[in-house]
Amino acid sequence: MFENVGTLVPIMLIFLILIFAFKNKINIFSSFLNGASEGLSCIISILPIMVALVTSVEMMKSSGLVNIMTNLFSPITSTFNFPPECIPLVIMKPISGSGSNAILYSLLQKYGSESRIGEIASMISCSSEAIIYIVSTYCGAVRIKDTKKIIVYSTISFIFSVVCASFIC
Amino acid sequence: MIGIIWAFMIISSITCALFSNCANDLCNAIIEGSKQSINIMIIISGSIIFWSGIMKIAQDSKFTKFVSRLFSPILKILFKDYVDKPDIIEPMCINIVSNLLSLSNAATPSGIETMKKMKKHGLIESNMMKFLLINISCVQLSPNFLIISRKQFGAQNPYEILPKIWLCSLVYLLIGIFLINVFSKKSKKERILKTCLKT
Repeated sequence: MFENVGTLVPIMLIFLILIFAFKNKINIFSSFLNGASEGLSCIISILPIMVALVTSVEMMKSSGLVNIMTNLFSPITSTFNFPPECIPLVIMKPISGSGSNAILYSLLQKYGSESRIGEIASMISCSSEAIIYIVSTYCGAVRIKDTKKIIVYSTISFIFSVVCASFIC
Repeated sequence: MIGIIWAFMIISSITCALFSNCANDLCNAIIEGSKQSINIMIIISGSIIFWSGIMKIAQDSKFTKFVSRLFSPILKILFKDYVDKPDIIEPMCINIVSNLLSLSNAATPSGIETMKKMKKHGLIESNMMKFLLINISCVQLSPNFLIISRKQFGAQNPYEILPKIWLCSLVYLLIGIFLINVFSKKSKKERILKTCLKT
């Protein structure tokens, strides 16, 4: 049942969008191409960040730093059975979306996406946005400087959702 | 912020490598890591381009506006102060629907517009925080980037995980709203007390 829901939603989304486009008589193909070229420029803008972060994560792994961190955090993570491999992701997620994507991809590549690590990593990285990014763009646009409260609240709920992810899997 | 963390990651891994005598591995990791990052991007880029095309059609055909109309009743429950202010509710709907469809390009401008309108009508802190929290928790119907990468890295059925992700996002959202409701009420009481003391 769960599998069907997950598969149907994206397919039905494409279907509905195309039906709607026919109804409103827009130039479907040209707007598809517009969007696709936007996607291409998005990839090009992500690429340098990916190179920077994947390389630095690899450096951390090979130097044994990840092992040290794992040992350091293991008393906390073992209480709710959280895989220590995901700790870099948890640290990066609130700060930068593309940074955490880079870490997610390298985790998925190494452990496979059907492993428990892969599932938890994808749940963490998709259940939220980068807190710092949202708060700084939205509050910066209307010049609100008092952003401490929202950052604290969202960090607390982020921790809760991480715990929730490790319980579900 | 990210620059500091990135520099910290590299500096600490170099010091760690020097102490544990694996500088060779580190040099290899630099080469391997940069190669890997390009590989990852090549693997996922095709489907990203396809989905951005589809989502552009959704925007152009006013599909997002149509769906956002369906959402306004839910929002009116969450933001009771803005029930009779359609000029706030409207961009807010567009923002939330674009988040649902993972159209972050469309979500940001409408979100900023909403914040501006909210400020114009006299900003209420708890409402602003609720709105920001909805944006941060970012409940997505179909997070395409994730699905694509899961498929490429060996998941048989990459969509299987979606309900779990929705659950996680909802936990995030509900706990955040709970925190905001509890604590902002407290601060209101404090304010009333203070004004009483002053007069």
